[in-house]
Amino acid sequence: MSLGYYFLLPVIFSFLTPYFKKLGSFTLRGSTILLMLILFLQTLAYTGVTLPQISEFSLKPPLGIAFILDGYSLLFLLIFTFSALIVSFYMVWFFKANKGRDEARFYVFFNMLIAGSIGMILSCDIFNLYIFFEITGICSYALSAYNKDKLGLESGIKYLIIGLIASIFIVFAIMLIYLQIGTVNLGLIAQRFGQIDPKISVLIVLMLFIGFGTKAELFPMNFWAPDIYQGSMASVNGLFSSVVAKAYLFVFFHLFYLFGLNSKYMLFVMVIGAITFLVSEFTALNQTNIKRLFAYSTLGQLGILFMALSTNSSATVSGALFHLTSHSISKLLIFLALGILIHKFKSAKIDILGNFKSGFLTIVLAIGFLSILGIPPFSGFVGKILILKGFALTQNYAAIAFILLVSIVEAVYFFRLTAMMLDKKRTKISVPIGFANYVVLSVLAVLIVLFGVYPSLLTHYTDLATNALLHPTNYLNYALGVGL
Amino acid sequence: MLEFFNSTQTIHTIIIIGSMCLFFIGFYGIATQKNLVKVLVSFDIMESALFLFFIGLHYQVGLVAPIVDSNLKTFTNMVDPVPQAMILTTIVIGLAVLALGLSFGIEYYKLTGRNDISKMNELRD
Amino acid sequence: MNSIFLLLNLLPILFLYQFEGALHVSLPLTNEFTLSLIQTPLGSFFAYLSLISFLLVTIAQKSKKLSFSYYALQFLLSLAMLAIVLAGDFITFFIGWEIMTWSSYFIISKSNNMNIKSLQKYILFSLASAFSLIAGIVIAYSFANSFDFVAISNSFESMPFNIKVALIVLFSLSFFTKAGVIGLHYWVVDTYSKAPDLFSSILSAVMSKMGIYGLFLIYGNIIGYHELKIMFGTMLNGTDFGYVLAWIGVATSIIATFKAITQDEVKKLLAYSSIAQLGYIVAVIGFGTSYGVAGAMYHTLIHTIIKLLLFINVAAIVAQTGKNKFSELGGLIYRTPVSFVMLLIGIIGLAGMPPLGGFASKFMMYNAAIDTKFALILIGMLFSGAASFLYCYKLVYGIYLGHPTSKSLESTKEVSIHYLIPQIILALLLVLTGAFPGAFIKVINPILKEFSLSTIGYDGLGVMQSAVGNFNGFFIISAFVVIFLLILLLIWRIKSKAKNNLNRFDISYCGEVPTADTSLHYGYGFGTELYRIKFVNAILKRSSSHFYESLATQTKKTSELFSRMYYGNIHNTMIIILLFFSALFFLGVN
Repeated sequence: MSLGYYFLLPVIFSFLTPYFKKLGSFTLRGSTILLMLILFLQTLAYTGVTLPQISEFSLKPPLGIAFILDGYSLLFLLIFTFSALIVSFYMVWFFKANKGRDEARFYVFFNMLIAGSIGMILSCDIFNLYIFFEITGICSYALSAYNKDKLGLESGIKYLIIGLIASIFIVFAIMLIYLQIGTVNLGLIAQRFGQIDPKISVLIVLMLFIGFGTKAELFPMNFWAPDIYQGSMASVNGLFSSVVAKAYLFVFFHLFYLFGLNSKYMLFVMVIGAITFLVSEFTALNQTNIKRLFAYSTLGQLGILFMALSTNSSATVSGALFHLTSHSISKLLIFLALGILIHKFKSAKIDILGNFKSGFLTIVLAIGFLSILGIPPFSGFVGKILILKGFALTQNYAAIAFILLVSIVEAVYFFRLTAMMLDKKRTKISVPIGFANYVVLSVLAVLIVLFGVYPSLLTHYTDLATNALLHPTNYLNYALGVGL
Repeated sequence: MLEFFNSTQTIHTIIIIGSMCLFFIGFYGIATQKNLVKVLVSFDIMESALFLFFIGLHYQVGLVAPIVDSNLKTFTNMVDPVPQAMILTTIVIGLAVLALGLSFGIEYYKLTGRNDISKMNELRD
Repeated sequence: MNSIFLLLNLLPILFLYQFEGALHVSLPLTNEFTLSLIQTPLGSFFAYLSLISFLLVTIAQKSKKLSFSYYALQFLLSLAMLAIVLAGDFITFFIGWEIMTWSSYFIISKSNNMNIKSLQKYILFSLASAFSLIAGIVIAYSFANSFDFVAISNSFESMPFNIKVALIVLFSLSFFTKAGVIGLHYWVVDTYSKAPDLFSSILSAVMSKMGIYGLFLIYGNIIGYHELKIMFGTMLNGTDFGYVLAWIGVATSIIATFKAITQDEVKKLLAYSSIAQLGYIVAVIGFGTSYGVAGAMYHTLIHTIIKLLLFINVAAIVAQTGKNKFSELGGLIYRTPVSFVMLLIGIIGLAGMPPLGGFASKFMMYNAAIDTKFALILIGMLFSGAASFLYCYKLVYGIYLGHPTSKSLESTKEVSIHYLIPQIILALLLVLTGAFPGAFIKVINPILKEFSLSTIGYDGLGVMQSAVGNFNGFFIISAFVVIFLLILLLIWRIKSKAKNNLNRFDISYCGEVPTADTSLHYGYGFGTELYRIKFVNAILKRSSSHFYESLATQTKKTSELFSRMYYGNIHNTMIIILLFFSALFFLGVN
């Protein structure tokens, strides 16, 4: 299958949605599940082939447009298609529980969101990347405002305005790059980036940093993010946290290493990541809205990832990619489980965690919490210890101390929530969990435990990804069309 | 005297100055305006400035538009087609975002009767 | 269900049939990590302690209806502890450590007395301990390039001095927190007193010992006492390092002893006593001499036995009467005589009175202090040992002697047999450990070899060597038994002649006659007079809680400060982004 279908199929399904809607909601839901299943299985099939893979359209690169799948994008592709599959199963329960919602509107944007995110990680052309960036953006604004209530629309508007700012910076940067180098092919840009006048190159880097950093929720640019999470549905939050934010992060570091910025800007990105981590975790302590709280937690984890991914050492980066995968799974689990509670209690206050009665939900939520905190034997532990080990190998003890100290702050609110769940003195109301949700949440929880006790399953892919990210020679050859 | 305007250098200067003015008008709008529609319009002005800047800098005197018709027989005497394609795409995207933003704004106004973005603060803890 | 988990608890013994080398597993986890289990004498000493404790507590738990999840978590906890003590590398150690933390957390949360604040206290201190541990581990890794104990031990000598000190501080902090050294003990009392009654015995008897195991592992195995001597120099017959540690331990034990005496809640008293006893162990663990290690080991064993015995005893009483304060108990001696005898044996051991194991272990520790010539440390330990008589007395008096404080106590029945079986076994163990100190020396000599210290001589099973001459535990206990029997005979003779027709209301004071409601039990007020002693008052009034509470307040304020930034004005957010860009641009271009 050509890589182009990763983009094409969701778009086709998305356009066919009104037709599916006429055939009934079963077809609508089933078709999306089928689509995501196809994409996920196809990605699994790609794990067996030699990488990178390239699919060009009409002309050969560097002149034509191409999709390239290397180790780095394979890992993200796995995460995205898997998350999409999980969410599409979850939405079956959601639409059954919430009768009368406009299902077609959700699925149109959902499919397009996946298409856009996947396009962003496969595209080897900075302008196409921008287009996918915008597609993802538009779909996330629309999904954010899906409820069409006051809060939803407010978050949609806020997200849209922020998206506009980010896109102006990125368009500007792309234009400057084209003016300087005369190409939009990532390979050629990477090759010639060093020849640009340093002042202009600083400007380009800064604009890309602001553009993608805003979307990837870095500290001084992330004041909007908790609002968006608070206003959106829980399942959409899961998507934002495990797919959309990760896609922007992917692009950020893809360009970071491709353009060879690692030596010059490493410390800067690391400090920004550290500040993001610190501020978000402290702020999360003070929250009473559960969605908002986990939004801050997501920001914090992104902060760690930025710290670790910018280090340029393969040990740390590989750990960070492991942590990223585990964080995606855990946050998806938490947000989907919260969605069930929020639906039941019609409220998103923290108290709902203390008022439900369901052993299953308690266990899966506890697994999610412990995994994000990095406690063995869950997958978050492996990621965290790999990151710490990487920092230790480069003798960066300050970073180790910082991560561990702030992690205690993180533990404060995670264990406050756990204690609320376990508190017997509160009045408990039993919560119905659909069959689909039992499956979905168990799969996620089992994966968290599996990656925790048998990390080799995942380290294979993170090592591939690290290699592809830090030494993009192969990628460049394919992007330049050398040896095709 | 009008030949002075016919040089590539002058045209580029005018375009740079003009697009910068336009850009800062948009910038001013973003920084000071709080009405959602005005903010969106300011963004659009900023984007237009970028488009003008980019397209303008790729124009050179004596070259023709990259459209295959009677004027263009060979592929030598034309301006670079890539920026134009890019800008066309970007305009479409900008339009889509603008439309979405306005529709959000309308819905929000219907619900609350407000359109001041600095007063949209129901999402807080 | 109880029986199933009882059998499951026996299972690990299959793999630990020897004292050394019966187990050697290594399991590759990823390319970099290998989980390895290896049985060393030190590890198996602690492994047996934990196995036996879990077994006995599970027997006692038969008397309660506990859920499957409770037993499963407890079994997981026991496995985690085995993983800790049998670990051959730090990753296994840390995984065991963290599983221990969260499985015990979930068990504790099942208690009815628990509140969020105490749970938070417990888990945050445990995590702080774990994070300090992992910091030490990765720093050690950065020099040794391996998590293996042997590899880290080998490369320790070549590390820079400041890294060595940092490692010692980080590891010590982590293990001190678990053992509840003063200043880091803020969580201990609350947790022990609010946890499920029988589980408190696990917390005090086994989990705190994991801290002690960690200290042995670090000082003895990984760094080595010899290396500590080289690093910090020697002082008298011990090391400088050991001297500092000894003061920390002695301070812990003295302060905790005084705090214990003034407690009204039975389990709080036991919790403070646990801190105090672990203080002794910390005090002698750093001496770096054979006697020091032997004393610490001996006391570890004895303290495990005693605390299991006492906590199970108290748990039985609480289950029987529903009361957990000295002010609500009293006079149970005639109602629950067997429990009384068990508790009596327990406190004889706890106070370090001859002839039981408690005396032998305390003797060994005093002996270690004499051997190193740390006279002031010896005085401190003796002082705290003497003061501990007071809380031991309070324990037995408050619960069993005097008059019952309420009517309901008078109809109390003897506790269930499931509580008594483990107590009887433990009491026997206490007698045996007192009678056969030589056997104990035989067990720990391989550990001393492991630490490359000289072994201690013993003569048969009943006699061990010490710096001040041989210690014949068997003779002492035989003599005591003979004397005890004689006195018992005497009392029995006298008592049979004495009249026993006094009523508790046959007294009057100041012309008033007590009624049925008047409490004649003064045991619970016992210890309040300590506040009148200036020196003790100063100790009792100080508390680390102010520090930790102000830390929590400060964190909360910081959090409020930060959350003020996220106030949701999108217009300002836009401007901040633009300003940030301009600032970076000017910085970057220049």
